[in-house]
Amino acid sequence: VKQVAYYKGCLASLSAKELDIATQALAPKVGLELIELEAVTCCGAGDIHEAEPDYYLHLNARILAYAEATGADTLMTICNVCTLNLRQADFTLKGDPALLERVNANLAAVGAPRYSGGVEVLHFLWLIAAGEGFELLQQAAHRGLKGLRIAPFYGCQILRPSKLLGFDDPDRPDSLERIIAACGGEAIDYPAKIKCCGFPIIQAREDVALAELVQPIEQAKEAGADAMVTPCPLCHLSLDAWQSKLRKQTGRDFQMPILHLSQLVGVAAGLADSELRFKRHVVSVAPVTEKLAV
Amino acid sequence: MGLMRHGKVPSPFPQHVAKHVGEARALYDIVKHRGEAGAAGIVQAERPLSRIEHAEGASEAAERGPYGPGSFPEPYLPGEKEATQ
Repeated sequence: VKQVAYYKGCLASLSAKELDIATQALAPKVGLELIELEAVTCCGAGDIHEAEPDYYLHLNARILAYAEATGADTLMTICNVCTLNLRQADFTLKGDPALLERVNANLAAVGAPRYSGGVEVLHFLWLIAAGEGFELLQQAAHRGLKGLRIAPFYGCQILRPSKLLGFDDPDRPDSLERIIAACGGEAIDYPAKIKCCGFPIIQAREDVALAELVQPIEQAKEAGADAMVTPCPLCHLSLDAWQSKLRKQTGRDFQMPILHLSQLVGVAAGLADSELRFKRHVVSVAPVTEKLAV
Repeated sequence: MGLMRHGKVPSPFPQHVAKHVGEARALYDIVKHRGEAGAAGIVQAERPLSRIEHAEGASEAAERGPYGPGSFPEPYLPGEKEATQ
């Protein structure tokens, strides 16, 4: 069993609690012991990074410091945006000792632990898509997806910039496909699986955001997907909750079920309905559960 | 729900507040004082100066003396050598 510090981020604490619940239930089955970080804040998403870059660095350094204080060498995330923010801050701090010292002095001044660079930030997807995690996943997914056709949707911030992320090929990722296949499903290939879901610009340019969003859903539908899966709760929110907006704008009702990664693997691993919490989704997951007779 | 939206009744859902959130708030104040927007930035002006140096040619500026040709006239200090014009 590998101990990891677990940072669930804001969405899995609030509107996407089902992601946190499914992840916590699934973790022991894939050889992970989660040490949940409670005294941490939001990573700042893209907003604080833009508006207050120095505070963004301090906020993320504080999260990294608390992760390091658990004694684990891995900080596990379940959100693309958290992964990018934390890895970017980690990269910056490790590459600049003077900056790290200044940030540590400020952390010490408010009573937070210091960060010495002893943590690697890894997304849950990466932990189960390769190595020992993948082997345990194959064993855990005994119930299988019974040939269900799943369209993987990566989102952008787990792929790009690849210098900071670097797990998948940003143009031809395959980790989700490997997981879908290991769970007994059939992965659907389609061009928009690596595109942005439109979340970051929904407030400023809703029309542009919806034009981004319609592409993966439409392509997955046309390719015959039963459902889509994503490793990011922000992408999930866009894909799941805004299908009603798409219906109003395009007149098309896709009714495409969207699953979190932990839920998809959780179904294959035989998690109970109370651990999957499909009832919290906006678009019904019933077509998927009926096919699998969950 | 309508009343809640208008702030007339408290939310029935408990607010999510991170443990030790005061620490993160204090960090904001301290960053404002000591960070790039404070002592490490405006007062010492390391970042703006580095940009200016980069734009004007840092090595040339560093090699040139602060006084004399191309720089300020050397100040007159009584008891020392005569000031240059």
